[in-house]
Amino acid sequence: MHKHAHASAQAVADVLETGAARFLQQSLEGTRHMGASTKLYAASQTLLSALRESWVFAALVEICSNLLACEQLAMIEIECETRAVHILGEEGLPPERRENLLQNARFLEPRITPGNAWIPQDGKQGNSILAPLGITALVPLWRDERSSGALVLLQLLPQRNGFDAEDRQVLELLSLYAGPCLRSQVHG
Amino acid sequence: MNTKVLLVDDSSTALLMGETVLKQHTSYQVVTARDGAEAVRTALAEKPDLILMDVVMPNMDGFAACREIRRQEPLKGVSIVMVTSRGEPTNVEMGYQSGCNAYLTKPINATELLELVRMLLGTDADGNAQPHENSIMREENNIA
Repeated sequence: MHKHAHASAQAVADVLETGAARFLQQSLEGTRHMGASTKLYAASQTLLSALRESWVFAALVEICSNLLACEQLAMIEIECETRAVHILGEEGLPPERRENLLQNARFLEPRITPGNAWIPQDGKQGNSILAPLGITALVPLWRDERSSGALVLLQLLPQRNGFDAEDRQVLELLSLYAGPCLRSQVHG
Repeated sequence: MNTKVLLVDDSSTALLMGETVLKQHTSYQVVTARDGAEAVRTALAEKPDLILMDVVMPNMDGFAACREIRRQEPLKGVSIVMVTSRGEPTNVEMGYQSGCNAYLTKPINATELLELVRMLLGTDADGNAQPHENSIMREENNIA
């Protein structure tokens, strides 16, 4: 089991390393928008370092704060059987928002789809249950027989009123690799 | 001599982002510091042409570091850009009061960063001095 987990961590590291090199090349060649490729490179490289040095959650906070301008976030776990919500990590969360998340995050469970970040602002209709939570994005981390996990992004900095195309590419990258990095760190 | 830029931020992600943009798209030499106190020491040692300074940092914040740098005679001509997550008018005002030349808010937009840095340094991407508008006019007059 330990050997398997280690191999899995190495596999995630390899994918991130290859991706980071590609994004850096794209930034240089201008084959992808410079801002997007540089952000993707910085995010991949930060995750890679964090995976090797076991600070993945702190890396997610860094990425969300510095590349997405998000000043409030939480890592939540929703138990499949009881739908109990646990906050496993948080940054900048005011007490009332934390409580609100604990009470209502179970409704987020259907939105936790591995590989797909959910951005409420894209929805055509507001959701009366989820709207008061003030979620700006939901990044899936894992889904197994025991629980689902996600990174919940809440308030953005005052100068931001939503996510642009560059941000969406970073969110997409996180939805693919943040979960495997966390799991590799835990099991590795 | 190479144009030198000092990047100051306690976030390795932010440093990586800034360093990548500048190293990939200019020929500027880039040096880094992780807090305000280190920024002052590094600035004195490296004599950069421009400093990109985060505001919220341990040890010494960006405003205090900016004030300290402005007191140093050997660093008299350095341009300082405050780079912060807080873009409210009071913060911007505090930045200018501490002696910065310009202000950028996070998240860093790579194009804006390059344009601002080149404008403040008066150089092109290769670090070559760009003629100012009035010097172009002077040259035209001489030709005439």
